[in-house]
Order: sequence, then C-alpha cells, then structure tokens
Amino acid sequence: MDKRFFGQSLPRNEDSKLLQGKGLYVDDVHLPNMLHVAFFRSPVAHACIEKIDAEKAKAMVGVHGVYCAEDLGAFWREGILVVPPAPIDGIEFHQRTQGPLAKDKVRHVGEPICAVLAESRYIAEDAVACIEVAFNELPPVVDLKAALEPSAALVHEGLESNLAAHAIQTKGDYESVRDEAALVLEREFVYDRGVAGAMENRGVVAQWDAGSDQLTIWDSTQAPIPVRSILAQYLGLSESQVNVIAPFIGGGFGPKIMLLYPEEQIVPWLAMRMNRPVKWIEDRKENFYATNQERLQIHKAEILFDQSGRILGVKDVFLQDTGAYNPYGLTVPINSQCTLLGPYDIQHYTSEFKSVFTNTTTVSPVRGAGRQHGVFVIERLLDFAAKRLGIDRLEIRRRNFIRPDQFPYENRLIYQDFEPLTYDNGNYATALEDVRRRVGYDLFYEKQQAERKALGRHVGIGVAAYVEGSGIGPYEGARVTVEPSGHVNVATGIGTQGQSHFTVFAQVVAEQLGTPLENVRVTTGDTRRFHWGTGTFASRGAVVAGNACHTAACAVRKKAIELVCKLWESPEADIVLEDGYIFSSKNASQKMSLGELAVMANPMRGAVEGDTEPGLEATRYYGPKMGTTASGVHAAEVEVDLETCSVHVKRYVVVHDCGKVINPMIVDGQIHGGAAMGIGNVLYENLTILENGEWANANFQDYLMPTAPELPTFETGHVETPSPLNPLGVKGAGEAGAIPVGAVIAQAIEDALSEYDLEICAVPITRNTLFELLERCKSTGLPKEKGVSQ
Amino acid sequence: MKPPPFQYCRPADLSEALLCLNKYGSQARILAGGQSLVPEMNFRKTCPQVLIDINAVESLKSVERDDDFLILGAGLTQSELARCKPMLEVCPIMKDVLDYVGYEQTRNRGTFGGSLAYGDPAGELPAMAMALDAEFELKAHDRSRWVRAEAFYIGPFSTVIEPDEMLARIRIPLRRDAVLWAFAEQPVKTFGKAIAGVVTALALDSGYTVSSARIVAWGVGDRPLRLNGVEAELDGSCLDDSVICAAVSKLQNELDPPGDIHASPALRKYLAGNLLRRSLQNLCSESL
Repeated sequence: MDKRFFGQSLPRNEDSKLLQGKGLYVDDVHLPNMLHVAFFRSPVAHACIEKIDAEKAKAMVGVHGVYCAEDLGAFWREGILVVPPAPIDGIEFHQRTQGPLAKDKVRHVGEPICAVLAESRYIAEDAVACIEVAFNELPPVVDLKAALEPSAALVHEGLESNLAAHAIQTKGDYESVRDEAALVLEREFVYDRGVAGAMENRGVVAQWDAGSDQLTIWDSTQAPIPVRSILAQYLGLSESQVNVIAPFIGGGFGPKIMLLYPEEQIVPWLAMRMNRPVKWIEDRKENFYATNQERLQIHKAEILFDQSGRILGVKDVFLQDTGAYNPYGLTVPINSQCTLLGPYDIQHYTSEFKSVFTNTTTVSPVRGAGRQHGVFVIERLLDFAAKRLGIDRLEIRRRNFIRPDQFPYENRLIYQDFEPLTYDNGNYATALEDVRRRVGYDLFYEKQQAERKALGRHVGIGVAAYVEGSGIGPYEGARVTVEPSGHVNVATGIGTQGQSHFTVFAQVVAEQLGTPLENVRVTTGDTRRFHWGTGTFASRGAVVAGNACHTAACAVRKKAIELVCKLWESPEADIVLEDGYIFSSKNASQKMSLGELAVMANPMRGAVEGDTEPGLEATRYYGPKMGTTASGVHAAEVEVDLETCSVHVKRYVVVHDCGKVINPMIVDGQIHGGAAMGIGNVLYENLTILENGEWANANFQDYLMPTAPELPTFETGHVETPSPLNPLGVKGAGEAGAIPVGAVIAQAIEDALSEYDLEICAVPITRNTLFELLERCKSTGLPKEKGVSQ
Repeated sequence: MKPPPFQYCRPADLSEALLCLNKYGSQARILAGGQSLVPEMNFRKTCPQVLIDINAVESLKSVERDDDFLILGAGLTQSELARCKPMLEVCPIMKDVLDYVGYEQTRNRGTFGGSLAYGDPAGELPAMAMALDAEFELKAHDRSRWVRAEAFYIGPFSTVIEPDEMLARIRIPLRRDAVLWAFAEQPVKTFGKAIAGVVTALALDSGYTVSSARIVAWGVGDRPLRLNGVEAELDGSCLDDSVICAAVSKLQNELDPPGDIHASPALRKYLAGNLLRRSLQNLCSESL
C-alpha cells in the first residue's frame, strides 16, 4: 500500500473540536431541573462519629435533602475490591474498602459523611457549612513506620495491627550468593509521590428517565463499562438500563480508574430517588483529599556485585503506605517489587513488602503505579556501586543489561496481571547508546563539565534505564462499521483522557481500510456504543484496544474484498483499498467507493446468508495472555545553583522503546507529559502531611505543579522492537515518561556537585532537602561500606 | 469552593465608595482586582457580608506628578503600573519586580493598592513601597491621613487601616540624588510566591561611596522588613567584596525568618543573604 497511516505523525482528529472549546466534559452537561450535590467531609483524620446534626441544613431554602450513611439503607455497602491480591505463596492480605458515606468512623480527612442536595452548588455548600458533627477523636496514624508499632492506634478495628498486606517474592537464592560478593551496598530509600493533579477534577452527572426506565451517567472515569455494571448491580437495574458516558476527560493518570468512588454511587442514587438530574463536580480542595493518590514507600535494599560490576543479587524490604483503604489491592507494591529488576539480568532476588493502613487518602495507581519506587532503588544502587568500583555509570548498566538473545526473559515473579513476569523483548544497549550520543555524554566529560566547574557552575548529567510492564489483559473490543456515506465508525469501550485515541485508533483502522483519516470517527467510553471491555490503565490503550481495532478493521477489509471479488470475479490479490475506494489494480472499470459497497453489503432485497452478518461491519476482541515490556533510557542535564539551592533541568532526553509506533508525534507528547510529571514529582510537588492528618499544601499555591518555565526542552528518540505478542507489535507508552525521572535527576545533581560526594536517597528533592544535604555534607562524611574490596 | 452569600455594591465614585464603607465598616471588604480576596472567599477563609467593588471609580486610576511627589491612584492595575512611565523613571526596576507579582493574567486584574493593603509579608509591592519611602493616603468618608509605608504594616496581612478607611493614593517622594536600584527574589518555582526577596536602593557619591542605602526584604518576616543594620553597614562605605560580605553577615544576624514547607528558617536566611549579595554585586558592576 502506498498510503500509510500507521507510523505517521498525523495531526490529531480531536484537535479541531478541542481547540474550539467544543469538547464535552462532564461539567459541560447542563440538564433542565438539575440539582447539585456538595459533601460534608471529615475535617479530622481519625475519629468516631458521635452525632450528626443536619437539621439546620435541611431547613434551608433551596435544600432538597441531606443524607448520611443510615439514610442510604440497603444501598450502603462496602466498596468492591477492584483488584484482588495476586496469587503469591504465603501472601497476607486484609481487605478494607470504603462505603459511600462514612458510617460510625472516619479514617481520613476529606472522607464524605453527608451529601447535601440543593438547587445550586452555592446553596449546597452553604448547607454543608451548617452541618454539625460531633467526633470522638482518635490518634491520627500518619507516620508510615510508626503505624506498625504495637502502640499505634488502629485504622481498622478488627485487625491486629495496621498491616494491610505482606508478601515475599523470590527469584533464585539471594543468601547463597551473598558470600561471593566483592561489594555489598545497603541503603535506605524514601520515595514519596503526590496527587495526580489532573487538570479536570472528577465529576458525575446522572439523569433518570422514568419514561424509558433508563439511567444515564456522565462520569469522568477511566472505566465506564465496569462503572455501568457495578452501578446496575447496586441500583437493582439491568445493565441494559444503565448508560455510562465518559466524555472528554481532562486527564486521568490512574486515580480515575477507581471503582467506585463514593460520589459515583451517591449521585446516580439521588438522581433516581429524586427523579431529577443531579450533578457533582469535584473542586480542587476535594481533589487533594478525596481522590486517590500515590505516596510514600520506604525501601531498605541490599545489593551484591562482583568485581566487574555484575549484579549477583538484590534484597529489598519495603513499606508501602496504602492510605485508609486498599480497594486497588496490591498493584502498586507489586509493580514496585517487579519493576525494581528493571532491564537487568539479576538471578537472585528477594523482595518483601508490607502494605500499611494510615489515616490518609487512599492510595491507588498514579501514572507509573509504583514502578518509580522500584526503579529509583535499583538505579541509585547501580550509581553508588559504579562510583565504588570505578566503573562508568553507563558501563555498569550495559554490563548488566539482559542481552537481546536472552528473550523471552523470565523473571518468574508474579506481576500485577497475576502472570509470571516475562519480558517479551527489548534492545536496552541500543537505547543506552542512543542516549549517550544525544546527550553528548562523552564530550561533556572530556571537556564541558570541567570548563563549567572552572566558571563556578555546577552542571551534571544523569542517566537511568527502566522497563515498564504494559498492555496487560484481560481484553478490549472494537466494532468497525463502514457507513453508506463512506464514513467509518469505530467504537471501543475504553475511556479516553487525552491519549489521542480518536487519532491513533483511526490510524490503525485507516491503515486497513484505506479511508482518509478524517473520515474515521472514533467513539470511546460510551456504553451505549460499545458495552464490553475494562478501561484505560497500565499503558494498555494502544496495545489492547488498538489491537482490537486492528483485528476488527482486518475483518471488515476481508469482508469487503470477498464481496467485490464475488462481484467482479477477480482474484483477491488484485484488490486495493485506497482513498475511500475499493478497486482492482488490473481493471480500471472495477472501482467503487467503500460507501457504495457498504450499501451493497446491506441489501434491501434478498437474504443474508446464515452465519454471516450484514453490512461492512465487524466486532472483534483482543486479549493478551501477558503484558508487553516497554523500556527506555532517560538522561538529563541539570544545573544546580548553590546560592539558591535551585535545580534547573536544562535538557531532558528520552529514548523509548514501545515497539511499533502508531504516531510518533503522539508518543512524543505522551513522553513529554510523563517526564514533566516526573520532574514535578521529583523537584516540585511535595505533598506534606501534618501531624493531624491534614495536608500542609492542599492548594496549587503551595503544591507546586511544574509549569512551562520549570520544564526543559524534551528530546525523544524511538527504538522500535516490535512486540511478538500482538499483531500490531506495539507496547505501552503512557506511563514511561514518568518512571525513571527520580533516579535521573538525583544522579545528575550528584554529578553536578561531585566535589560534595552527595548521596541522594530520597524523593522529592526539594530546595529544603538539598540545603540540608549540603549542610550535612559540609559537617560529616559518607557512611563506610561494610563490603569486601579486593 | 463557593463563597457564602454576600451583598455587592459598585459605587460610581470615591465618595460613594467611602459612604458604603462607613455604612458597613468591618462587615465589608473592598473588591479591587480580587486576585487574593476572591480565592479566600471561595475557600470561605474570608466571608465579608458586603463587597464594595471599586472598579468603576475612575479617580483611583490617576497618575499625578508635582515637584516633590509622584502620586498614583490605588486602583492602577499591576499591569498598568508596569507600563507607567513616571513610575519607571523613579524606579526602573519596578517593571522587573512586577514580573514576580502573580502572573500576567492576575496582573491584568490585580491592583497596586490592593497588593499594598493586603499586606502579604511575602509580597513584592509592600516592600517596594517601603524602599521607595512611599506614603499611603487612607481615606474615610469624613477624614483622610497619610501614613508612611514603614508605619503601615503591623503584622502578617495586618495594617493600620481602619474599617471605614480605604487606601486611595500612594505618593512617592522624588529624590534629588541618583539612586541605583537592584532586586533579587527566589520564588517557590520560577515564579509564584516569594520565599525571600531583597530590594536595594543605593545613592552613591562621586567617589563611589554609598551616601545613602535603603534595603528592604520580603518573605523573611511577619511584614516587609527594612534592614537598618545592613543599611548602616553600607552607608559611607565604598562597595567592594569585603563590604558586601559584611553586609550579608549583618543581614543574616538581623533576620529571624519563619519556616514553612518551601524553606526552613535557616534556608530562608541563607537565601536572603545570597540574594543581597547578588544585588550588591550587580550594583557594583553596574556602577563601575
């Protein structure tokens, strides 16, 4: 085929609409007679609810009701466990999920206690301000280490401690190689993350149509189909009565995959009860307290090297803060555990984690989903070892990379998709070399760094590698339909939050059908249009839904070709689909538009043969047995200003391997966004808890989201190692940009300040922490290794 | 994040505004640019019963100049101030300082007087007013007075303004001597709230000796701080490395800054010292 769509940097189908302000977001849904909800949320982190007095609020003009847990009757139930614990031998897991409104006890600041329904959001908030709740306050459990001490208060009664889960996974036999090590390094690492900070907060609008017995919900969810199924069950409706529409969404990043948030339950319930449309739009303060986030892990890791810098084994023991509830199971700590191994050939590994309940906002995956923590640990250990062994930082990585001839490479640990972790393929050394060239590594150390130091400037480079298990199952589906007009409709169940699905799925389909890209109309996340599937998470949209679109498009193509071959009595090999037409390459008179063929495929007379389907349409599903392994290498050049303790990221280079690239421009954009998120996480965002369980900085004045002036120019390169696991050969790309940034920046800062011999073992690296680290370095030296050195 | 109900009035001139203020007193707040007030209202941290919107009061946009003073209306927006030629003649760095006041969008709404009356200890404009030795005209319906910037601020977000008074004009003395200005600020990001900032106004005599120094810091105390000790250190000296060092250590002895998640007290002190050093070094190279 001459005209290619797949692999081209084509402009986005959705941009025209979005740039004109015509995209529909949940808050754009305005329905006649609509009521508004505001929540009374717990002002305290840990308390028993003694008494709720909402009489004054109920009496206010414009208030249609105030509801607390007991008003919900049988509708009140504890939330589902979205992801059960993985089948790991000896795993201990204590499930605690949240009800739609707090009953008896509150476990974090911001937990909803009452829902107020009113004529406007203004009145609803005025009424919330009148509600009085008497609390019997309990000690807030906010310190991760202290939470496991016997004296700690219990976040959940009925448990012996605040331990939410405990799991050990091993590969090989770590202890057996410990004596062989030429170098043993042990360090404690603290990696804290923050809120996802999507531009659009959450929101739900629900409308009950008593005439048609249909409930329609506009929801800022990453998983409209599961929301539909769960709500139907909760509300005693048939799934055919519930329509969930996830319209344009201003960023998901993980927290919007939660099933279901309290507000997603309350709003539809109220809409049915009142027989009026009901709306709730989350505000930024609510988002800081009530939308899931990712947070702290504390790792104690030990690594063994031989004299040549080869890793003999790794042992890691870590604590994970899971917040007040653990509806998302163990996805985050399992990702940390598995991703620590990275692109390296490590034969002996022991990893043990404890997941811990605290009186803080619930933790569930945020872009990267725990991978950051693991990558930080292994990459930092490699840096420290390189220094001690006198090996170049890139060289020590190259020596440990899994070689291309070792794939499929079995790590044998159970991964987040419950399958044994196996890497499909990768070309790690190629990516590393490309990064070395792009960042100008050799010239920098031959010349530039010394020149800058002579001028009193502190400039350094950091380089780190990572893998990202992506594109996991279970499955997604797609329906491809050619209309008589020649337009092609593609419908898939996953939701879209800015991933350019309207373009990349169109490219995949256009590649098979040869229709102009703008004629391919993609619908995502609308259960009325496609009602099977899971959702957008784990960098799986392009892999799972993309391959479903591809197989459906291939089926339509086959159908079209078979139809014209019968009509024209010509061999299949002669048929070409291009520019919206289907024609024979041998006979110029044999040509018609795809639209005309669609009409012929749906005849007004005659019969459709048994076991065939009318129209140029096909529905197909794709379910990968296991995830694909994307990978990459990042590098940054940073300058540290010692006088202001500021870190300026001057350049950021990403060489990424997500297999076959559908649209390089879009993948670049994903990577830029991810790396920006990573830089925010590492240098700016610093979600800080106070002893009472409130955030010290639940606003964008003090919670520092990176903006354009803080961000460098990003440079990206692609290594294409097609995945053997799926027809398109693609791998996930959505989270990659955010994953290794902590390790990259930490290394670059150390390099810039090489005369200080710093060791950065904690993220975020704030101005305060950098200042303290430098002050400490001035007064004390580095810890001595207990390792053997020959 | 919606404010509770409030009354709203939009007086057409200053006397009407002052009558409103007299009527409602401490129940009322003046709405100028609203870039700090409205978010506070949305957070329900400030719940005025009456908002007096002074955006229709044309006289608050005045720019006048006589032999002794530049007199500016409190209602000039920060963007207008950055383009105000008489202001920049008196203090050329005002334009650069204003780059650090909020963002382009907020400066189009936020006013000079609003920033001064808000009294944010991390605010740039209160400190600039102090460095300019400005005076504020506080008007009530039945009286008015002029208060020097230095006497105006009494604590964080706290000033001597009475409930029935509003800040109407700012008058800046026109100095006869040539003044060299420098400022340096470290915000929490590239822009955003200041962690620390220092503005320096130096007059030099013909022999490059400092004849008068005025130095004000922000973000490092409960209000903008005039650094008298540092000024004394510089007065009469010839700017060189050792004088700059002495001034910096004087500053670090003089300050007792607060700490927050952005900077500990020790870091704030360290930053303020380095910012002063940078300013003085810049002036040094400029004056040569």
